[in-house]
Amino acid sequence: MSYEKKPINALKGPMNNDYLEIQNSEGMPGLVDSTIALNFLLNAKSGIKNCATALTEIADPEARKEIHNMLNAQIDLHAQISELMMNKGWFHPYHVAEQFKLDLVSAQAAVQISNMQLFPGNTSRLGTFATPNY
Amino acid sequence: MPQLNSTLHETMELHELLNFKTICMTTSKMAQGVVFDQDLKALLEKDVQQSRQAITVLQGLVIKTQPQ
Repeated sequence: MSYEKKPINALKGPMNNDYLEIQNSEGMPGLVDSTIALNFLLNAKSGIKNCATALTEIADPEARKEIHNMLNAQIDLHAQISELMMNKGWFHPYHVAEQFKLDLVSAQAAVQISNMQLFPGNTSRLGTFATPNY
Repeated sequence: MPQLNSTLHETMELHELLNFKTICMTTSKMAQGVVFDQDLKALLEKDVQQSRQAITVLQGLVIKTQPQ
């Protein structure tokens, strides 16, 4: 798919606030996927750190064995995520200039999204759920 | 109930890991409905499966090491 070759930096100029206009959604799949992949990568990284920290605090052999297995699985998963992100052009660990450019553009896009009225009106949908105690 | 040799802070550590895993699994499951890329979705699903195993193991450990 061609969008994979055009990640966030494919966005041309400032984002338009009219997010319902189909023309303004160009480059959105790459934007969404690269953002979620980055979130996923950071989660995996935190998981590895948490497992390692827990290992330094736990003495019990059985618990240590289990957490050791967990840590190894997490490290493998982290490697796979970063490899996928490199293949898709969302992550450039060997090309710092490119990574900086990408991060600045995506930060800008995120700031613009944060200024949008994405969920206007009252978002309490309690009436549509079974909530007898509310 | 078979007791592990565990102190309170070890149990807390396992508890923290359990909470982290729960949130990660939920996040990965949610993100599967949002992503466009099917390779990324497959990796997210792999994470969900791994996390589910980890949660089962951690649940067992937390219950076993709970101070009576």
